[in-house]
Amino acid sequence: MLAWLFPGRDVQRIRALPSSLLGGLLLLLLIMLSALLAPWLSAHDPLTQNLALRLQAPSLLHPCGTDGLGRDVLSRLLYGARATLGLVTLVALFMVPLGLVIGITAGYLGGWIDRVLSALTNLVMAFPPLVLALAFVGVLGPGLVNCALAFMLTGWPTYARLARAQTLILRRSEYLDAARMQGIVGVRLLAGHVLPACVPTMQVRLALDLASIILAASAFGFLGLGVRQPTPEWGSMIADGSRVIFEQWWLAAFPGLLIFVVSLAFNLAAEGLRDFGDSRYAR
Amino acid sequence: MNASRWLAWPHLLASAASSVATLTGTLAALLCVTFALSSLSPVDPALKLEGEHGSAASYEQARHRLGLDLSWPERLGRYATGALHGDLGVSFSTGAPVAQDLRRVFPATLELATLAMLGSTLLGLGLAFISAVHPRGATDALLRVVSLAGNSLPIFWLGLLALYLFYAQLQWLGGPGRLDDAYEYTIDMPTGLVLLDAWRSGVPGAFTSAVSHLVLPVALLVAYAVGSIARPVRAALLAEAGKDYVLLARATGAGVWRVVLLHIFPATGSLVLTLLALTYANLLQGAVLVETVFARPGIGRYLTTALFAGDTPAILGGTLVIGICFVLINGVTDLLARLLDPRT
Amino acid sequence: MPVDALLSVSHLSVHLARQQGPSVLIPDLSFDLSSECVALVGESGSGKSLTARAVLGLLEPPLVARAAHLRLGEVDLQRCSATDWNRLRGARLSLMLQDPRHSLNPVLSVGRQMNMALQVHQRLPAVERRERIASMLEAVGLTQSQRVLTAYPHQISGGMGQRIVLAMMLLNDPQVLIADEPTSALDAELREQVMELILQHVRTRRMGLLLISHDLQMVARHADRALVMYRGRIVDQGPAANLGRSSHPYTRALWACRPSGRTYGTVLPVLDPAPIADELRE
Repeated sequence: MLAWLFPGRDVQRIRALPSSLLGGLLLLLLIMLSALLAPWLSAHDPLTQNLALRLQAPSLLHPCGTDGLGRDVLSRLLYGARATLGLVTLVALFMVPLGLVIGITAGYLGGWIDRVLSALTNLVMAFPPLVLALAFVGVLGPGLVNCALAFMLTGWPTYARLARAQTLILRRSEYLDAARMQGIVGVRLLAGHVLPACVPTMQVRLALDLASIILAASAFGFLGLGVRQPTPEWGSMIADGSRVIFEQWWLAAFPGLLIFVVSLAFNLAAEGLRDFGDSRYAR
Repeated sequence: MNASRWLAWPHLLASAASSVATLTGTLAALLCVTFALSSLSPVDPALKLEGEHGSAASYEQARHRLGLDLSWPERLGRYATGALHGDLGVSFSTGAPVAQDLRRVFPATLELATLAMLGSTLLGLGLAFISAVHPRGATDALLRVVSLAGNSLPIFWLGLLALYLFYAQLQWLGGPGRLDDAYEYTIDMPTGLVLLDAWRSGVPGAFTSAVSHLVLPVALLVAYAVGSIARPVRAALLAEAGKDYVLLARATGAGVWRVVLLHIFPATGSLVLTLLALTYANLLQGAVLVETVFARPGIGRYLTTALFAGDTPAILGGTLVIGICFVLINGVTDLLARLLDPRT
Repeated sequence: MPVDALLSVSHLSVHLARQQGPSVLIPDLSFDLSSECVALVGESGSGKSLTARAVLGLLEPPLVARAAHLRLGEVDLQRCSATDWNRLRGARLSLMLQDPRHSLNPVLSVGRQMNMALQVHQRLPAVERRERIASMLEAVGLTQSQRVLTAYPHQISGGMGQRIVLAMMLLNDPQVLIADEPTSALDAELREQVMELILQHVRTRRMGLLLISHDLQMVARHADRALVMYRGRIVDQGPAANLGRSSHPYTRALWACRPSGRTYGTVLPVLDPAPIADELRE
């Protein structure tokens, strides 16, 4: 079957991938699909209120019940994936490049630039990330962008450090000298030769970070600092559900379950990537 | 401790001095960050103070009193000196000085974090030892599952469900708050540490109530921290286990447990210390969410309440205090680790 | 098999358990040790250290050891439980390794480690312990015992370290000492000194010494008997003094390989196992 799915590819290599990696990636794919296809997968509009049908238990019509305002929970869960994945994508898109640029610059140029950038990196790393992010969003106002910004600003040091370490290793090797002799210098050298070397270590780290960012983001949503109502978001759905948890426990349970699934997917992918990397070196 | 080590005190002093300098620099930077956030806030503190219906004159007065009409370096200086003297501004919501509010709630967080620290250290080290003595066994699998779960489950969600199960349904444990309502208002809390105060109050049942309310939040924090202690310690123990001195120790007739506890563990000392500090610092952050879910007073809940209310001075005051604790714990541990390792 | 053998090894085999099937590291090994110095010589990878560990019961899975019989005096080592082994190791059977800076715990002082070694087997009051340790250190030539006891492993020299390890391992009066390359990490001048010190103690206490070494000349000078190992098998044995005159081709090749003043400037011979493969397979 794998040969049919991936025609022309070496099936043995795919089957040799760690199951955790495959499992994690599969889960992620499912979540992404449901987020993208939410409008077609959900039977109801996530924003339509129907106060006559509020707080209903799961049924055939509403497989996950209805919330305090009569909205269909399943549809809100599907649409909620968009908020979560959107945030995660935003963070990953900016946090990693920022860290990479700072790290590679520090490692490659050395001297006082390195000292200054390293001091900055160590400084930000010494701060408590969750609390600072909370303060950031709390003071500047809730919303997806502010949350993403907060995580970005507290999360880039890890990547800067990794990139710098990798750049230092490369500097000492002959790999860069060989490229320079071919006339490749400057940014082209950094982007084409140094950057790709940093990617493997970052992949695992990124997957792990994203898992914890999802948890943090849902915590922010829980505290009312995420996307504004009435846009569905899993964290804020848990907060809504917590108010009626003793009667309608499922309202708080389902969104949390989904947060768990997505986070687990990233963690499994991270473990799989690590094993995959190890097995490659072992070969 | 070997007395002759201290003969190298100039070297140790230099090492200590550099640690202290970094620490001070970090704290100063933290102060700058909270200041920057406060000045970036879209909320106008003078407006908050005077209300929207105050006159223009009283508004200007308020601005002057808060120093908002000064240039920003002067404002930073004012903020910094204020903070060093314990003045963190006045809360928008309570109207009381933020520092005073924080001082009141700090012991509760300290209590929660310390208990969770003790629990996770004991459990974490124990599991690490068992796992090192019986590698590839059941403990290994347990640790992996617990770690994976801890990294994938939202702590506040688990807290809610735990409350639902153990408090609402099974009624085994206490619910939100630190004490049952019956005791909440009848006992004095001079120290702010609920266990101590409940014990000394002499009111029957108060202590048990305090304990039963502590079980879930502490258990939750421990479950999240255990993996991050046990797995690195286990890895360190196993890494040392292949070394010559371990073989020789076994050859002297020491049993496996004796070797792990008395020979290998001391060699991982500085790693364990750093790990414990990191965990303690992270528990302070974890307490923020746990206190909110379990409605326990503490800096965490103070912070989240302030967040809900948009109370900027309170938010930043709380952030600063937690930040200082976090930075101090890590900095001091770094210093200690350097001083205690006989190899440096 | 001599009746008074301190250590008796018969048909010892060691293999590595793997998914694809076991990999045999030592196929068949037999020797006895009485109150003498028996040397196990051979190149790296011949299985010398494995033998030492097997005899001490310190082979971790997936390494597995089996033997027809393995006896320390009258004790059947194969029937020993973990507790039995702990009682034997250190008290009747002891070990010395190559580099004292690695064989001692880096974060514990020398005194503490020696105390711990003593306390595993004997319950003595602190005063007696101090005396024992001090006299043992003197016996190995370390007279400034206070200075030694408070030192950490990274503060002591190689020669001092080996003396300390020897003292530590003799504290409980064992009958057998296994020394795995005890002088290889030392400077040339110290090697003779330390070797002689070890032998002096072994002979005074009538112990058995299993010396593992790749230095044939040193073995010829000091050991009583020598067993030449190649790929887990004993291919030659005899009085150690006769090592240089052995008729076995492998032994002769090993002997000739050793660099010395005489071979300076010449190309050293390299062992080609093919022509002597038959002898090596016995």
